[in-house]
Amino acid sequence: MKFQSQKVAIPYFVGALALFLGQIVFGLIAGLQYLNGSFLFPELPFDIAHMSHTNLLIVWLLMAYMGAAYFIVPEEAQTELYSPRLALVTFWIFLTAGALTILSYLFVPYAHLAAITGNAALPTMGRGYLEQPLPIKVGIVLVALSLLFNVTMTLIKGRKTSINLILVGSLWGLALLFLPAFYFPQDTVKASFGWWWIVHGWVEGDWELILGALLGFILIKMTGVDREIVEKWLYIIVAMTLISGIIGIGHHYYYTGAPAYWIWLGTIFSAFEPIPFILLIAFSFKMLLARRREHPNKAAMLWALGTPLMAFLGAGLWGFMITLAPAQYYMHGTNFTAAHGHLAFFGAYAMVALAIISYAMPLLRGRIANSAAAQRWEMTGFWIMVLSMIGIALALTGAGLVTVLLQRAADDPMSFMQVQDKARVFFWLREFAGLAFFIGLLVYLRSFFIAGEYGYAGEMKQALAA
Amino acid sequence: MRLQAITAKPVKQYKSYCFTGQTDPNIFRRLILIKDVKKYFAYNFNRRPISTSKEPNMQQVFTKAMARNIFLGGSVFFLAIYLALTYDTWQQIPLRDHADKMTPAVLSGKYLFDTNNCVGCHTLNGEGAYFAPELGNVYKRRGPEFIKAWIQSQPTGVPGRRQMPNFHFDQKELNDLVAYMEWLSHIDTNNWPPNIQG
Repeated sequence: MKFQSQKVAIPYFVGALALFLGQIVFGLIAGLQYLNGSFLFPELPFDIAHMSHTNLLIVWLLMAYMGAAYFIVPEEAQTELYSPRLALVTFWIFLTAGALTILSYLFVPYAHLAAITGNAALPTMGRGYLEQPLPIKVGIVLVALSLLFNVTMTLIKGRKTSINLILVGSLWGLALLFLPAFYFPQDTVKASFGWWWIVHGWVEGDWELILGALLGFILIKMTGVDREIVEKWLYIIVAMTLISGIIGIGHHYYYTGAPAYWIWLGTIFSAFEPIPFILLIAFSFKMLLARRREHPNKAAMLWALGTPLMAFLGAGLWGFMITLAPAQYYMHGTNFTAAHGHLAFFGAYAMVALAIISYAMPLLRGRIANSAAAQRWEMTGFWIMVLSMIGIALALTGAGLVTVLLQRAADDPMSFMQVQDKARVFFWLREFAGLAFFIGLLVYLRSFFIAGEYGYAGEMKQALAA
Repeated sequence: MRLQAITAKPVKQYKSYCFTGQTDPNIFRRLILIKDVKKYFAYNFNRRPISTSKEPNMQQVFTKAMARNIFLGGSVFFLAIYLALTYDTWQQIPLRDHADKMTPAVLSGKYLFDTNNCVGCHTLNGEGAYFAPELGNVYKRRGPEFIKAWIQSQPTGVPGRRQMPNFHFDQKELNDLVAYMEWLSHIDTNNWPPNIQG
C-alpha cells in the first residue's frame, strides 16, 4: 500500500465478505426448499430466499469491486484518492441500503413493498436480479455516481495507465448498463429483450473487463512482469470479450419472442465467447512463468491463477454447453442454466473479488503477506470452496439432464413436478456440496483472524529444516 | 535513445548471465560484498534480457496501441451492428407477440404478475427461477378455470411439497392474470418449449 487513502478499501472488503456469508446462508435455505418445500413456509417462501441469495451476490460483488477500485485506482494513478471521506460515506450508504433491501424482502410482502415504494408510478420491480424497490434502484445509481466521480477525479489528476483506464472505463459501463433497470416496457417480450442489456451486458461484457483489469493489476504486482506486456494482453482479452459478446447476446433471444435471425447470430457469436477465457488462462500462466520475483503471498497467487481456470470452466465450458441454439432448445430454463450461473458467477466474479481481497488485505493491514499459517487456512478455504462449487455445478447439471431427458426431449413428457421428484438425488448432492462450500467459506474467513505477518527468516529456517 | 547511448557516459554494468546458460566467471568475486550481491540480483532479475537479434520481435510488430485500437474499433463496430439489429427487432416484436391484443386486462394481469414476483419461482419463456413450472404456455397446458382454481387453493399445505403462497386475489384480478397468461401463450417463441409440459 503506497497511499493512505487506499485504506478506504478495508470497509468495502469486510462488508463484501459479510454479505457473501449472508448470500451462502440464503443459498442453503433455498437449496433445502427444493427438497422440503414446506421448510420455513410461509415465513420465508422460496422466492424471497432466492432473491435474497441473488441480490446479496450482486451487492457483495459490487462492494468488492468498489473496494478494489478504491485500492487500485490511487496506486495506479500514483496519487491519493480524490476524496476518501466521500468513499467512506458512500460505503455506509451502500451497506445500509443493501441491508434495508434484504430486510424489506424478509418482512414486507413483495406486492405491498411495490405499493408503498411507488412502483405503480414507474414500474421496475419483478424482474430477476432487479427486484429492488424503486428508491433502492435510485440509491444504487447515486452510489455508482459517487464512485465514478471519485475514481475519475483521481484518474484525471494522476497517471493514466491502461489498467486504470480499463478499470474506470468499465465502472462507467457498469453504471450506464444499470440504467435500463428503469425501463420496464409493458410488452413482455421487449422487457425480456431489454433485461438482457443489463444482465448480459454486465456478466458477459462489462464485468469481464473489470475481471481483466483486476487480474492484470494483481499479476503486475505479484510477478513483476513488464507492464507493457500485461496491458497488451489485457487489451486483446477485452477486445475478444466484446467482439464475441456484443452480438453473442443473441443466445438469450432464441426462444423469448425475438425474431428468428437471432438463432443464427447468437449461435455463431456466442460460440466464440469462451475465447477470452482461454486467453485469460494463457495470459496468467505466461505471466506466472515469466515472473521475476517470488511474492510471499502464495494465497493471492493461488486465487489469481484459480480465477481464469474456474472462469473458463464456468463461463466458457458450461456456458458453451447451453449456448448453441439446438442444445438450448432443450436446456433453456432448466438447471443447466443454474449450473452455469453458479460456476460462472463464482469462478469468474466471486473468485476475482477474493483474489484482490487476498492480495490487498494484508497490504492494507500493514504487511506484505499474511503468516504462513494464515495462508494455509486461506488456501484450504480456496480448495474446499472451489471443489464444492464444482460439486454444486455437477449436481445441478445432473438435475438439468433429468429435466431434458424426462420432460423436454421425452416421447411421453412428464410434468414439471414429477420430473423434479426424479431429480431429488441431485438436489441432495447440491445441498451437501453447498454445505461443504459454507464450511470452506468459514475456513477462508478464519484466515483473517490469524495474527502475524509473513516472516522471511522463519520460513527460510523451516524450509531448510524440512 | 540512440543519441543518449552515444553521448551518455558509459556506465559499468554487470553482464547478465542469467538467461545465457553460461556461468558468470566473476560470480565469486561479486559475492564478497553484500552491496554487490544486491546489485547483481537487481540487475539480473529486474530487467528483461536485451535481445541481440536484429529481427524485429513481437513487441514491436504488434504493439499495445494496436491491441487497444482493435478493442475500441471492434467494440464500436459490433455495438453499431447490435443497435441496427435491435432497431429491426423492435419493429418485429409487436407483430410476433400480438401487441395489439394487450388489453387493459392483460396489462393489469402483467402488473400483478410482476409485483407478486412470479418469476421468483416460475419461469416465463424459460427465464426466472427453476422452482416451479413454466408459465409462458400454462394457459394452453391447464386452461383458464384450472389456473384460477389453483391460485385460489394455495398453499396446499402438503408437508414436504413445494408451497406457493396465497396472494388473496379477487375475481377481477384472477381474470386479469388469466388474460395475461392467455396473451403470453400466443407469443411466437420459435416453437419453444418443445412440448406442452414446458
